Amino acid sequence: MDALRPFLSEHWSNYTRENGFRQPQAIEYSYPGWNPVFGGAEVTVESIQANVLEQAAAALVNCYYGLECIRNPYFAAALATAVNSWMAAEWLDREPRLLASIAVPIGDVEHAVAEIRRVATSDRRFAQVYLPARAWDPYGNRRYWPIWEAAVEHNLTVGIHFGGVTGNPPTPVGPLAGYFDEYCSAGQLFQAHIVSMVCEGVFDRFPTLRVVLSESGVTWLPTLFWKIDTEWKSARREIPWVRRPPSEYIREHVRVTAQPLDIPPESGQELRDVLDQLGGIDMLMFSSDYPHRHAVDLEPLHAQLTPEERQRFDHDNAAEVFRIEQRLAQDHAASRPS
Amino acid sequence: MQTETNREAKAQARTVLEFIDCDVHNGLPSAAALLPHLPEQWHGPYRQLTNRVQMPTASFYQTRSLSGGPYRVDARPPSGNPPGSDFEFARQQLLESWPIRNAILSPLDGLSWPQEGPLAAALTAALNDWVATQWLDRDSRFLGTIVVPVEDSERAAREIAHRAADDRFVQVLMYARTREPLGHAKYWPIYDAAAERDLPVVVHVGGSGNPITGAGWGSYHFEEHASFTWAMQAHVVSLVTSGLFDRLPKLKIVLEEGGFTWVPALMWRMDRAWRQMGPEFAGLTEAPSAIIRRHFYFTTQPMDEVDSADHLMATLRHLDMDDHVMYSTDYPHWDFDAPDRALPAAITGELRTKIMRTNAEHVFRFPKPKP
Repeated sequence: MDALRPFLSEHWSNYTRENGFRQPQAIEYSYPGWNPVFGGAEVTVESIQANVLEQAAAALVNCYYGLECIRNPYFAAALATAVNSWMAAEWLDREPRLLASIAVPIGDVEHAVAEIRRVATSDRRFAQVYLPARAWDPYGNRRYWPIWEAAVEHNLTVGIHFGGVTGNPPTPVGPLAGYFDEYCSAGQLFQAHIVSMVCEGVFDRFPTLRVVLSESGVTWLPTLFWKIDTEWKSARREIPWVRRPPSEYIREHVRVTAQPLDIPPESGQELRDVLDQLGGIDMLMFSSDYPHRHAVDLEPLHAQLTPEERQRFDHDNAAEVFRIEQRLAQDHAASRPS
Repeated sequence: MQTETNREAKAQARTVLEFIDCDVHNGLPSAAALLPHLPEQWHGPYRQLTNRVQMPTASFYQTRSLSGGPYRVDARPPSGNPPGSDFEFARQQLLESWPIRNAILSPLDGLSWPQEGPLAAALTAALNDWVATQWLDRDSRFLGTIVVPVEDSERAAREIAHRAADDRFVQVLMYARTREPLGHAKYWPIYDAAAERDLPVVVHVGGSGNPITGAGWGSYHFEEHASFTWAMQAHVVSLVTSGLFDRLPKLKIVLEEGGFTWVPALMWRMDRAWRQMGPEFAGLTEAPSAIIRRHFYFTTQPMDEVDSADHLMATLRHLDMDDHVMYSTDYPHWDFDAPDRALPAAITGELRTKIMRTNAEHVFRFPKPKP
């Protein structure tokens, strides 16, 4: 909290002192080995430089702050602004190869849109809007459309990332027994969001919207396509605005980071099969998931790719979706808020 | 040439093998049909049930159907009663039209009833009586499913203990949407009672109690239909990590109408997390996929239309559960899978026979022939 206080108004700074607020409780719900609070690796600009930027031309930093669990809408909005200002000052200003995601109070669309516009109009190093996979409603719901509108207007991707704690149970059948269960069953949450976005016609309304799934797993994608394309043939009269097989919208508008892949180790054949079912590498993007120890999947995946595919996976797909060159070419000093 | 081979394979696929239909829905012709089977003391409360369901999920999402419900248009009997409610009509349309060895009946009337308390227990017992006397007594090819109040394990276990004496009831019915994930300890008495009598527990599409996705309520029936698969995924995770299968090493769970092509990806995610976070954190001494492959079974309808035969066969290889996939039609529902068309032509030979019949023969305890 001490790091964020300089970015809070006097009112909210005092508020956090008076009530002893340290951080949103949602942050504490994570795998202990990955959480600095419980002794996981401390992430710093220097550690990212040493571990990620050693090999990467640019890195997108997602700061998850658990804003969705803050019920006071004004406090959540103030914290979102503080987190984004802190990201700009303490991270982006110190390393020009970093890009960041915008933290938004997703429980309050009006404030979320205001924060997106505030950040995006003044600082193009923010490339994405960060949303937690656990949500108040599936992300196709009309209440979120102003957020997609703002994202599209400012050329931002919408990133849906594993995690989050809202008032909804994380499954259609209630709360799970613990973190391991939730991590394992995360696929169904991402599936619910992208099916919702297709069903509600979000991609027709916002044809340039791009959605990035992070830590969603990858290998369930082909089977979801089969299921919803089959269903669309019989049920599409209910959603006549969905004019093409749902998988086509998802292939066009959704990109997926490849950590974790969810594939057996030493699995040449299974991985080849799934890439074949997926129809290639175009939906997938490199991610290290640093500092989490996920990176074991990248080697077997690289081994399956032709040099051209590898170029697309490691670089081109992400460069295109995040418009990385244009962002890094910005004069950062000029684009920063004064 | 390939066209010739395809044609042969398709012709072969249309020659329907004698099969077992693991998912057929019969149901009450009217609410009053239950009364002869229901003790008098419950008649009043039963009549007052109308529109008193807490979370009538299905009515949030209107299906578009000319049949007045989720039914095949041609399945409505001449009486005008709901499809699946007329024994003779269903017998003709299903059993006499196809080479069916057995059809397992799962009435879904209980979905709109309370799932706990003495009334729930009385209603489900009455429904089981209705199935036994109006269906099983009249054609031995029909087999029954024990309907229970799913949120009331103690009463459910009592009904299982009572009903299992009738060996024509071959499984216990749970719903895809429950208040808790199915590994939760509150449901264990149901599994204990089923396992003691070697009855598989079938998890069928339906139910209510939570928002239909882990991210909240969707807006359309399309999402509702897809979301059952997501509930199934959560149940698998929950059942595997709960430790239930250590306690009941022979328990069989049948996932019905939830598909199966998603299972390999879930097994891979679970195995990977188990390796990475460690057996202790997961609370499992063996890989989750090993547990899934031992205990879970899947019925085929609604069969995903996979975009190529190679892709489907690859997924069946990844699943590696040839003995655990069982054919079902879902008669008389609108998304009925016809036995001559539903299984892709690429599924041939022994695997086809297993799916159509022999797997079910091994999973269910069939009644002993009566003299």
